[in-house]
Amino acid sequence: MLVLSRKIGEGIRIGSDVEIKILEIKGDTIKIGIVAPKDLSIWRNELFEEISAENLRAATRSVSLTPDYPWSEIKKNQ
Amino acid sequence: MTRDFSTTRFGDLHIDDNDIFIFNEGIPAFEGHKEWILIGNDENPIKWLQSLHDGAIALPVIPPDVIMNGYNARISKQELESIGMETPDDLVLLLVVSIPSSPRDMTVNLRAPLVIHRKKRIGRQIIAENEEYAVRQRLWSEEVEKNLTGRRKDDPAVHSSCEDR
Repeated sequence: MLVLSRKIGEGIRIGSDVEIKILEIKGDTIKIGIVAPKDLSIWRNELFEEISAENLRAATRSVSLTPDYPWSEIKKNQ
Repeated sequence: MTRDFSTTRFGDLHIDDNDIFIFNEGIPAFEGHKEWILIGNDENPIKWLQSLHDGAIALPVIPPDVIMNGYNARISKQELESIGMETPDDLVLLLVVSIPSSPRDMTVNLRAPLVIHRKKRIGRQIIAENEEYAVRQRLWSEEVEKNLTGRRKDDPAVHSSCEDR
């Protein structure tokens, strides 16, 4: 991992069209600004980790469902 | 070409290479698993995406329209083009479901659908921009419970939660 130290107002560039700026530091929270092309996905790590954990749970812990699960009732209530 | 593959859940499978789906990046938690096959029957809307990398790994999945009307995942065009999409008709969406021993506790991942190109058979799990979609959305609610017990006391799906334990 590349490690860089930055001060407030400073930033880094990734490639030619991604810019990351340190905007504010308050206690243990750092506010980051990202300038990137609109079609580039930027997500918080937790969301990725949550999805990964959910896949693992689904694949290893799931039981087979009986065909009579009340799908129509479920759908009506979503 | 065909191949034989042993699975924990479905026993020995005889697989036609043409039926395989390719997930080039794997699926989160199963990054090395590029080849998958869809197993299921017409009676049950839940299908299983079986890994061909590890016979013990199979993800239960469901088409969104079985559980809700108007599922509308917003995904950037660039991400859709990454699996070779030319028109939206090329795509099939499946949602990962998690089915604990009690089917009442079943959850569905609305936030990150598996997006599959139906002809190229290339897939990818993509995070939709919809903040309102939960990764772990419960399907069973008090309302469902009330409607079921009010109408059909002997509903097998309600009882199966006990049998599965």
